[in-house]
Amino acid sequence: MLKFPVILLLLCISAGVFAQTDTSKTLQGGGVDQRILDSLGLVNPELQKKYNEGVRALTSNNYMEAVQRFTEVTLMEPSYVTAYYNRGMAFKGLAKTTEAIADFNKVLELDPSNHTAAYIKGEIYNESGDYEEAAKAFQQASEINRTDEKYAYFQGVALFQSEKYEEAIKAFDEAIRRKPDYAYAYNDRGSAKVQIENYDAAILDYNMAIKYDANLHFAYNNLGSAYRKKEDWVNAEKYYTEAIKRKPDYYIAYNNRGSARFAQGKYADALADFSKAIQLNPDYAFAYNNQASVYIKMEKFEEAVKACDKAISLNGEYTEAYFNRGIAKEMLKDVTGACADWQDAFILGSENAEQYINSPACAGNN
Amino acid sequence: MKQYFEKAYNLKPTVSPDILFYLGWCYHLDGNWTKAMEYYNMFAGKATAPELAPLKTEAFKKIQECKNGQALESQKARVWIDNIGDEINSQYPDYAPVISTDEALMIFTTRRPDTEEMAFGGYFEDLYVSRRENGVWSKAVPIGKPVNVKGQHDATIGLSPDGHTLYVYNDDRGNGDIYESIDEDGAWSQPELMEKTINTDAHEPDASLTFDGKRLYFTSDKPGGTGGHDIYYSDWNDEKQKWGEAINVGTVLNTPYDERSVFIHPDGETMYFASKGHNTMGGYDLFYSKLVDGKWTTPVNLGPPLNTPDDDVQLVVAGNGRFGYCSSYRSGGYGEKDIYVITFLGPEKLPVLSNEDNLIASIAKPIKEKLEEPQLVSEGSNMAILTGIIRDEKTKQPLKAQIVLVDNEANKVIAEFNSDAVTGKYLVSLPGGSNYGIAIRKDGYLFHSENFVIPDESGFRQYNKDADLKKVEVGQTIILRNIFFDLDKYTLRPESVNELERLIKLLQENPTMKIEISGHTDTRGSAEHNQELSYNRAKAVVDYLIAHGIDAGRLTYAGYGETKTIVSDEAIAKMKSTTEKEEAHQQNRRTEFKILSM
Repeated sequence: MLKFPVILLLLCISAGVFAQTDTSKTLQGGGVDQRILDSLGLVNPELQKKYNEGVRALTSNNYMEAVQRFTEVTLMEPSYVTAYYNRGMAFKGLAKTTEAIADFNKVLELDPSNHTAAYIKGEIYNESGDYEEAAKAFQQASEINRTDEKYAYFQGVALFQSEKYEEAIKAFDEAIRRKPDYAYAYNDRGSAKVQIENYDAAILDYNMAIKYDANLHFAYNNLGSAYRKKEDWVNAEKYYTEAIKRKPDYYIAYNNRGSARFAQGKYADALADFSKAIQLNPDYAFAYNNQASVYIKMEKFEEAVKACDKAISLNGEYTEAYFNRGIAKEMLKDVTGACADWQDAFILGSENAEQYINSPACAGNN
Repeated sequence: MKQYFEKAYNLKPTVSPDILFYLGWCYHLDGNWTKAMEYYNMFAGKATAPELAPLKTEAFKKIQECKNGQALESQKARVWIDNIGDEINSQYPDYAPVISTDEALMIFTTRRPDTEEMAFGGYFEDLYVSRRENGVWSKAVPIGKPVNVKGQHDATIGLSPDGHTLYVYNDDRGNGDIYESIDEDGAWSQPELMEKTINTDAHEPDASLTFDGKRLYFTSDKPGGTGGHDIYYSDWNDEKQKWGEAINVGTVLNTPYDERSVFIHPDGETMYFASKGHNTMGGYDLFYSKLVDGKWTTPVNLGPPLNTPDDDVQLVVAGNGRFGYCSSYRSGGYGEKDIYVITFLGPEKLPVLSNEDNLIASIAKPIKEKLEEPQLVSEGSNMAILTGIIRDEKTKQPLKAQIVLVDNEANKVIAEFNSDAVTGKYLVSLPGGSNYGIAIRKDGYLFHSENFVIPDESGFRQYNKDADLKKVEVGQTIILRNIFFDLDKYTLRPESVNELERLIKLLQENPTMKIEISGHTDTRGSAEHNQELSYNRAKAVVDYLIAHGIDAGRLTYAGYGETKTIVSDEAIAKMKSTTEKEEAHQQNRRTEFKILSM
């Protein structure tokens, strides 16, 4: 009998790095020193040869070749776990999701302790946008390996993306239990709490994230947004400013701070923030739309129309920009144009726009 | 004027004991509230002589008006005020516009040289008419005899929502009375002095008729009121065919000061009027009040720029609530008083901002904030206007027909109108909050029915429904729009009674007539289910007719399910709004009857 378990330890090139700042790392195949194989007494030279060819093909991103070689290996030895694993990686490289998943399922069938295979499954589902299946796969990894905080964390992320916020919070709880200073998990748990409108609890979590990593610019931004949801515009503005201090080119925070200032009636300051966001990211449609909102409040309706025009040129399906342009056009007494814009906004999903197009203002204009 | 008072005062502060009052008034009219109050207060402090007491009281009132003005500055009405144009306005005084609620007709008062010149200069008041088509007002022309009388002031004060009853002011008796003229088949009748329950020896200068023609609001300064002119109403007595006793609307609306220019909106719940009381900012201001649970709410000042420190009177508002008409002196006009169109913009439309966050630490792509759209207050009025032309189906000749408006839920006839014999046109106002059945009847023709459910807070809708009446002949089919069933059931709802009674009456009047009742559904739900439902519904109608004495041998029934839709699924799919789509489905859900033999 072949000494697969021993070989596995050596040939299964280890899992990706779950660095907080990089989730794109994936398992990679690697070369095998023939002398090591010999020393381990691998008795089937043909299988050994094909396997090594497969590994070489995989490491050189020649996925088709790798699939062929590993398939040959599995035909020769149907319980060769590492061959399935590496073929799964090759299929992943070829974006053949179904085949890749089948291989990682085979790995888990042959080796139920292989948490890395479960994790890679999660990654594949994630990449294909099937967050519910991703969450299940990450959960499987997390249950196999009950100490690795990253599995629980990614389960939480996938659940968040599935809009299962309560379950996501539980997964982040588990990640934090495994790693009590896990800043990312605090941030994301805070975000899940924002989604269920538990803003006070979210604020506590964002503060914990900041406590454990004082440079998390986005945690400051999110903290500002949690305060904005509570209509605590002063604190919102304060934390957006903190975010900007930590990342001076953070156009998202400028845009958000502009909104907090807008809500306080600080229209000139808000306009400055939206303009800065545009300066940092000239294709940032949101900031143009928000600029238009300020112009509407300032009764600079022609400027508002121009800003909306720009937002719409960047995103032809930008509901709010059509809606706002309608408001500006109405105030310019272009009621026909206003009603046409509200019609577009309605088609794009705005219920309030429907109310406007049904109002006497638009009678005969649509 | 102010500079002369100021000069006189500066030269000699004691030139006249009331000069401080008038200086205050000058500043008041300029909207300089602080300065005006300063002078009024100075006057009040020095006005110790008994003969100045009335003026001192007036000064205190004006101080309060200035305070009101200051408070109202921050409550500016969202309106556009635009001159209506030279088709209507002239270099002479043009004022007191009244309109039909669909803004198709305007009648106003003017003093132009084509009327007789008065002995001391100027011209007598006459009524002019303009009509609007495709949004354009026609050149105004004199309304002519018998409404305009040579050598006499004739002035507009009110027009019924359908534009067929005109109220004219005339003071040939020396005290100012209300006269009524009816548009009878395209010609206005001789204005007739209204009854003594309305006109008294006092001054009655304003009148406004409700949408159903059953109540007349008017103003009078007759004794027994709360002071000055008050708003009263009188109800039409159907049995006696006369207007009932005048009733004062009460102290929520009436004040010790003058209330004038009453206008009851056809939505049945909004009254506009002018008052020198309440929180006026000076002279008459325009106010509105809502009828809620039978009681008028505290009047709300319409605010600047509609109201000014000077007199602001005579506002009429179209059925849609979007447009109003008034007259005033404003710069840039055609001379003297002009008529202006007011566009009510409704509550401020708030722009929507977009935000996003890096909610997930390990995902670089930000996530857009989900927006909950705020609940909007509906713009305009809560009512509908139904207009159209009634014609003979075959000859297309306009018909004078009777339009019966029924409150289906209350099972009560609300009002009856006639279409115009010359044009066949009709206009019916439908205030929000009811399920209306409309039956159009004419002898020798099958009745035509329509149904409109106008919910509360539904906003404004205008429907145009031309009705081609069909002669009572074999093969004719009509849709019974006012037969209702419970959702997905075949139990007749009580609101159907009026329509069923019309049908019974028709069958009784034509004792040999045999008919088929057919049921139709929309295309939602399974075809089998729709077929069965429509069959059972048709049978329910026939059962009702039999139970009410119609011989079963005259009646057959059939269910056609979704096989004979009026509006196709393809057409519905192309419709823009969900409201339109729902109305189309409603068109398809119906009960019809067909004359099989006579």
